[in-house]
Amino acid sequence: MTHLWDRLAEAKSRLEPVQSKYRVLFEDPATPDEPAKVLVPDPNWMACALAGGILPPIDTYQRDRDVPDGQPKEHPYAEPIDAMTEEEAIEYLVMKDIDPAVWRDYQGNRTILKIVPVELIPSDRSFRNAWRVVQ
Amino acid sequence: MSTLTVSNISDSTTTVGTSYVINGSAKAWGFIVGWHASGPTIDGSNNLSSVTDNGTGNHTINYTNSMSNTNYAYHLTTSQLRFTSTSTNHRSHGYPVVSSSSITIQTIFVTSNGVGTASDIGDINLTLFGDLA
Repeated sequence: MTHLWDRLAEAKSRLEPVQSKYRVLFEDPATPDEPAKVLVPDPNWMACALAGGILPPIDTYQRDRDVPDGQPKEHPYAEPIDAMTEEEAIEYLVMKDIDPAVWRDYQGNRTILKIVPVELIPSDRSFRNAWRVVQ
Repeated sequence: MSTLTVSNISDSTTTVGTSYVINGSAKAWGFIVGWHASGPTIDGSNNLSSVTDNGTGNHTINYTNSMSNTNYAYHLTTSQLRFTSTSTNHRSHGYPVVSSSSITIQTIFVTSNGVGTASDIGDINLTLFGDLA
């Protein structure tokens, strides 16, 4: 199996970057005083997700969260998955790059995570540290 | 994709071991523009999956292929192209928090009288060297 980093390097040489039309707006329940955060997908990563045959299964990343530093990790050597739609890729990215405390374990009443079109992100950053997820 | 399995590369004058090439390559890099009104964008990269805008001047950059541990070298610069000031001593600083799968950078804008405040920056330039997972 080709290493993930090699697959990424090869993909970069042939795939055009894809700027996503989505952003992920979320709050961290562990730090309620902090502002809402905005996750922006990498265009090269999105191109890989849409092309298929490059990225590993999301459950390998989740298992690797529990692997101590320096120990072998699973995701670089896992069999790559097929192409995703942009919406599926965003859901994959939520599970990869956002703490499970936000998208899996949270049981409160507030909505703390939304996938939104980029146009819905405020264009004025004057009060950036006061942003909250609209209920 | 084809694979060449060789121990050395030579141009008939100089020979270098492929381990130098592999170990000396940047394992990830990114050019993140932070001043867009609707948040940062990654305008050039390799081995990055996303950037999270955590608040004013605070960004987390996530890797697609994690590093083996946190003992890797990063080269990080920030610019303050967004700012127009008559002072010549304004500068921005990036303070990173490193994990094997991401790096979080808090950028501080320091004025000529030494006062620092968290501030959005023009862009972040990041390069990583080290061992991949």
